[in-house]
Amino acid sequence: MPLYETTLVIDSLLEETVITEKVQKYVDLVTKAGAVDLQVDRRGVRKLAYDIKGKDGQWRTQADYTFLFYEAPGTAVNILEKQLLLDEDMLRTMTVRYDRMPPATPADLNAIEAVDSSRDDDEERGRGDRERVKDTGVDVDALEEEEEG
Amino acid sequence: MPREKKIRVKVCKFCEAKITHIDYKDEKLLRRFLSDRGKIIPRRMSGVCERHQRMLTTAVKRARQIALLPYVSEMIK
Repeated sequence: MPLYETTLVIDSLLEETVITEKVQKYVDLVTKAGAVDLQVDRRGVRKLAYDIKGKDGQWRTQADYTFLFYEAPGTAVNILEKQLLLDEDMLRTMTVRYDRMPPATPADLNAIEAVDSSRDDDEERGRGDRERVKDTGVDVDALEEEEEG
Repeated sequence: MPREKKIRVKVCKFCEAKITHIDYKDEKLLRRFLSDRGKIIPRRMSGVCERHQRMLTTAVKRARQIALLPYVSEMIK
């Protein structure tokens, strides 16, 4: 069975208990539809990158984020998405399918920062990026002479 | 003494860090590859390889869909 990840962006004006119940409702729904190995990742309330209009017509600047990660048949995803579309408290939803298991710890930022800082050190030492500068060994003088000739 | 021509070769940061998956939830990482206006920085400027740029683009677009990143912004950093 394929792996799926569903993101639920829930209106944060709802009470905490209501949000928890809502998440539990969808967890039960997808489990009933055949999902296995379900993991729930509640990230809590966070600021939205852009305002989203709520069901009352007011703009929301923050929302509650929950990620559901599970292995399920395609029919289970259809059932879940249909229910999510009908829910007016859902500001945004998105389901992503993974062909294979993504790495558990994507601590990418630290690795990138380490690469960045090592490059900065090289430049400070005035050597440029030792490893990134390839010595081609091309004899420029000979080339110029050839061109002139 | 013949002069030697040196070519500066851009190396992808993701390849150097041996990253195989870019997560769309990693907002902090993705923001590093966006301009002030929220546009994706082209790989000719960032030095990211073709494979990782494609992964990065997909991740940014997914993050925009769930409002983790802006579609357009005056000042995002």
